[in-house]
Amino acid sequence: MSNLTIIRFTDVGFSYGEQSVLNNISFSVDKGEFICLTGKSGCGKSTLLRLINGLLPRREGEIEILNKNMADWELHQLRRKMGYVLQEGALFPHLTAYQNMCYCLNLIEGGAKDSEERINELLPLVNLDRSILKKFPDTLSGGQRQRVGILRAIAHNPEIVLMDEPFSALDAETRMNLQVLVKNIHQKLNTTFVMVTHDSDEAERLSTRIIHMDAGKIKSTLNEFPSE
Amino acid sequence: MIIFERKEYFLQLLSEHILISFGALAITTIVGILLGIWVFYSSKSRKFVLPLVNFLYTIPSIAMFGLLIPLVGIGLKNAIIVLVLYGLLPMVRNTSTGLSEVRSDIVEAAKGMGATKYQIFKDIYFPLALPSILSGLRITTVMLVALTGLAALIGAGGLGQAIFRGLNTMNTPMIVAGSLGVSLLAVLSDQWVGVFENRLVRVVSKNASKKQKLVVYINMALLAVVFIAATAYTRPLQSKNVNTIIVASKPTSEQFILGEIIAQLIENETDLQVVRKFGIGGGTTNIHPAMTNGEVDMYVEYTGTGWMSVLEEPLPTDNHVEFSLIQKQYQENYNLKWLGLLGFNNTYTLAIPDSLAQKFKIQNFSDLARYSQHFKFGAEFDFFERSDAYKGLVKTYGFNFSSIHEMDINLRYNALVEGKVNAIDAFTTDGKIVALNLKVLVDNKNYFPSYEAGIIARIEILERFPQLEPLLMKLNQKISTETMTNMNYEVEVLKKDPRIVAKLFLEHLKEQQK
Repeated sequence: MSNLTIIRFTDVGFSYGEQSVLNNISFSVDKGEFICLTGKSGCGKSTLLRLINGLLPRREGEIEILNKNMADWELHQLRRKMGYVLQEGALFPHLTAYQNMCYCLNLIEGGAKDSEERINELLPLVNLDRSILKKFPDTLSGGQRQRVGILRAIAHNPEIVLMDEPFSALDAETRMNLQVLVKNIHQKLNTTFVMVTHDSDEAERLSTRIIHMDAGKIKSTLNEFPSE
Repeated sequence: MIIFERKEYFLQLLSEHILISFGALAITTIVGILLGIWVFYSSKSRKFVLPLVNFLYTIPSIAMFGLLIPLVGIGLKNAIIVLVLYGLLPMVRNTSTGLSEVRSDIVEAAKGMGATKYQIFKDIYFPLALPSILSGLRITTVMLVALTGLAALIGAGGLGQAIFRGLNTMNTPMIVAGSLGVSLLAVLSDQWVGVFENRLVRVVSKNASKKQKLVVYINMALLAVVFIAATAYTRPLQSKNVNTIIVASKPTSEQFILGEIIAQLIENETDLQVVRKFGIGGGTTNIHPAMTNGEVDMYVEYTGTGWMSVLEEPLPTDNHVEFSLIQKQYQENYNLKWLGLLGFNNTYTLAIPDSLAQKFKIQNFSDLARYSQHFKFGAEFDFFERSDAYKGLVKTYGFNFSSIHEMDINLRYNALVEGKVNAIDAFTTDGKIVALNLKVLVDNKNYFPSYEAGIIARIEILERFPQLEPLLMKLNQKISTETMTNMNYEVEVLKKDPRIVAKLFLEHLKEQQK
């Protein structure tokens, strides 16, 4: 394994009570990769994503994140080194777009200091303009909400960005636009992305590697797609 | 308008009402929210906290006030505890429901980005549950303001006192003024809480406009000012003051007048302060325990009631309670002193229209028995139930009324006016006797026990303030049955303020003693 490895799973298993969800999962991710986890619903891809940020507790095997065993991390400290994007952005409805964007920055010590500058810098990257900053999520379109969600996840310069079906609720055109945008961000920021999607075209378009799962196991791994 | 005529009295009641309801509201809000949070986070607590607050809510409020008397006595403390226990249900429920309705993906997002449990609560759960908590607060506020109306029953005061005073003295404007006061306060309070909906969540989330912030802060300041003003006006801790005498009364016009006479006499002649706990519901049942535990210092009692209800002694054969005996027993058993008798006897009697009395030449109960087949008799429910009332009366005098009618105690006189009955039971000092030109008949076989009025005071207070006993003794034998009936008439029929009636009486007494 190279020194660049930032996520390493060794024989990881997970079950909800009696029901086994993941079995003998071993894989690693290097810095800068864009991994897509694909597979049918119920195959365990979202569970695997939540094991990476510790939202679900590991039951069997070893997980190492950023060269440190999962058990040695203060979980909230680990999560602050990551970005997290959910369906439709999962924006906080009582906060303005700007406050949502700053959320991760504010959690980090000293992060709030330059937040305005940082947000202004990132706005063009997600194709948003300043006019939406004071708006509340319920007045934004689905695409705008997801852009805010993406900006929130990258504003604090995370080592890893986790995305769980981020575009599944959007129309085809918006979806396409956002895929281009995310690919762009990945290339510019050189951050590691792990994204769950059930859409194999999307996975091929975005990822540097696809991990295809089936019934709680890694079925196949596909490497190095020609960039478009 | 009665409110303007008695503005000091109503201002006092309003202040008490605000102090009780908003004091209770503040505690309910804090305790209710904390319990709601606990219920949300701990499934174990859910199993007993919710059933418990549900149970508390189902106890009839009047019973709850009464149940707490042996534990915390009468007055402000009792009222606030009852109101807090009642108000918990909507607060706990709305808080826990509000928290559990926060979308799970939002919580997961915050957690996944590294927020701690406390940060998630403070920045996500709490602001998002706030609308639900505020709607619970609105329900609680209206409920507590309305329920405070009953606090007067246990001597805690508030606008309910005007309602009960009105009911007991048949003073409709008083009832209307008290009820309208409570309703108006409830509506205003509801509007006040409503101001925070939509605005408070913005202030808490730090994205409120200047105007929204201003409205929230102004309204909070408004409450603080109103609450402080009410507290300053009522001085709830005054009763703990060493130089304060607490005078209580039962909920009848007669007792309001006598309570005022005692209070004003003390205020006029000494430099002691007086707290009036008038109109206590349940009368002797609740005042006597309050006397023995020192929450009340003095009140007017009747010998028959003291003898039978408090001392639980059987009546002597002539039905006359010996004053020296009752005085001795009170002193030995309760360390309370009967200071003497005021001079009137407020016992049961029978009354008929004066015209009929003249027609049949009826003077006493025996005369009435002779013509009883010409009379329709009406009385309150317990008069027919008690063994020492109707049943024994018929046995002693041999009444044979053409019909008997059971009705509420306050309706007897109305029934007489409307001609539904033409003989009723009455109390010898009822003001309506004068108003309706009734003939009060003589109990020639002394069937009814005597109910002679006298002041009872705690011996401890008499020893601490030796000037009190001789002062109050000045009232002994100064209020005849006729004087008392007239004063009752002035309050019940002429709708005069008991304070004015008491003041005039004392002025008159002073002139006599010169």
